[in-house]
Amino acid sequence: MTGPAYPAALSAQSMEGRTSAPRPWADWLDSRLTIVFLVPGLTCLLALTLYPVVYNVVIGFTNRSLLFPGVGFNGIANFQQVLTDSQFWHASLRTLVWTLASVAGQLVLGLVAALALERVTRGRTLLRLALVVPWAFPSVVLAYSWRFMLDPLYGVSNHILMMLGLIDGPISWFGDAGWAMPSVVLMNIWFGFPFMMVAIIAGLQAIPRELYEAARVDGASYWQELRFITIPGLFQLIAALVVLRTIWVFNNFEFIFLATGGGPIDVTMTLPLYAFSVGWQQYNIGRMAAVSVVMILLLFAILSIYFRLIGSTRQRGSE
Amino acid sequence: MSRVGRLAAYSVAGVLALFALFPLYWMVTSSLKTYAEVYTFPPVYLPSAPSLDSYEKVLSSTPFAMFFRNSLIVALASTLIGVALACMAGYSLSRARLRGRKFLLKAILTAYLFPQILIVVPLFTAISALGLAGTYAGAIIAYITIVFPFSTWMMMAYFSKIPEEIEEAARIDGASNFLIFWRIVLPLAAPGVVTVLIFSFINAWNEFLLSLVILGGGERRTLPVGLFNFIGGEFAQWGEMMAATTMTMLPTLVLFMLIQRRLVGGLTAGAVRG
Repeated sequence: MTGPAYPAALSAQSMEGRTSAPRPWADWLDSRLTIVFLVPGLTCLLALTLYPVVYNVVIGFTNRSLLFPGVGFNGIANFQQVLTDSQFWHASLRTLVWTLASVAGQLVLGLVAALALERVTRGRTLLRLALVVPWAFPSVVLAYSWRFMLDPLYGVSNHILMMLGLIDGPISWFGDAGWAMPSVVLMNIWFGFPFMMVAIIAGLQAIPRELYEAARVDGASYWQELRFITIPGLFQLIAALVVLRTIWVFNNFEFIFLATGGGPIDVTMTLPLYAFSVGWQQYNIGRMAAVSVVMILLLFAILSIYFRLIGSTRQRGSE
Repeated sequence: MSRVGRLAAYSVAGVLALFALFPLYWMVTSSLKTYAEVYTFPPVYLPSAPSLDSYEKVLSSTPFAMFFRNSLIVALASTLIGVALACMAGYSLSRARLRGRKFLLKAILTAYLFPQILIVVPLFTAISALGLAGTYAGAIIAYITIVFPFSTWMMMAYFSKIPEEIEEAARIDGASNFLIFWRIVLPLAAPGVVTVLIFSFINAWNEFLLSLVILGGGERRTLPVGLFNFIGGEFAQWGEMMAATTMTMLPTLVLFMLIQRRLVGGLTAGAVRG
């Protein structure tokens, strides 16, 4: 912590000077400063987050469109339409693939990077700086730089892979129905692993050194230390990271929208893109609202499975 | 530590660092290539005669400067307002023994749970009902949704590290609550405030979806949306695109490198926005 612990300018006299004038109104506010400080921010939060959520739940039951002024209730028609739309189910499945593959990849790569960086002594700061670079990429820059690298005609990735003998000819990564999803997932893993790494490095500092010293006295190998000390020590943190990242990746719209636009032939159309196309491109915001409500329920379902898994693992660990 | 182990650690870290850096390297070098060098296969790995032609073209033939200014205005204003509100709320939440404190914390965190795609259309209809669609004010209001929640969490983490005894001492001297916050707590939390300001600014600068919907295709478009519109239009030259993306991310890359170490403190909060 920098700065003086108790600024000299704030001697008792100067403060008395400030509060001596009787200002009942100001005193009243000051005595309730906690509330006064909370109100503006929370009002904003309510207006900007809770209002849209409620709006969605209500509008989901109407035929509201951005094209026509009127609104009429049409019951559960939107939800029926959404749930019987095969596109919706395909989008849900794609969202699961996109989320699970991205989060798993980010976690594994982040863990490996953190463990490697822990053992590096010289040049550590520089390596760390290099490794966090992807985190700083704005989504639009991320998508366009990767589009250029993966370009079918002039892309550098094709050349590198051909030189390594991994592919025979150029591939249109974002334009090929089979490769588009793996490609956006790889892009997302590249973007997200530094965050996992930084968090895990912080988590590693919190594991007591004595555990490792004791293990070394007992002649444990590196892998045994990893298996019995490091991973269990990181478990809580990893669980939290996975939950946070899952929420973020599940809801992410921009990466795919900017990289492939959901194509080709919808193979990268995840739920946020599906909702956007229904609402913003077909102007049917009643149905879009229904999609988002179903989306949240799906996210809740995934998270509750996570929490159950985390809970059961923790129990097994304590037995 | 064994020599083999250390060698393995260096090679793993080295390979990953290459993987992490390569897209940046490729973007920046491509922006410096000539047209012929960008459009060739096999690609040129090192520009033979680096030139700033692409940059010149972007600045002279596109409204890049206007987008840049729009981004600066919207990101700065929403960051300042959002972080000011977050400092106040974060201080209250870190100090108060309110009955609903836990509930409030959860409510703020829940704000992350909702996908942006769900929030953006209702926000748009509300903001356009106020006549603010396509204006700076409308975008700034919308951007506060992304700045305020995680800033509050991060500020709370910084405030709770400041010992309350310091405040008690000032309170005995007769200082008002506001004065204690303004003259003692806030200066002590200054490093945290700076970190949160920078991180919020970066997030606001990078924001895409809110800008796309609230500001549309108009004069007030921010950089990310401006770039998005380029690639669809006649402006689809990779060299110029790379010059434009380089100019978009350089300011935030520098800022990010300055604060990346300090982010760990408020990490769980910052996590959610990536």
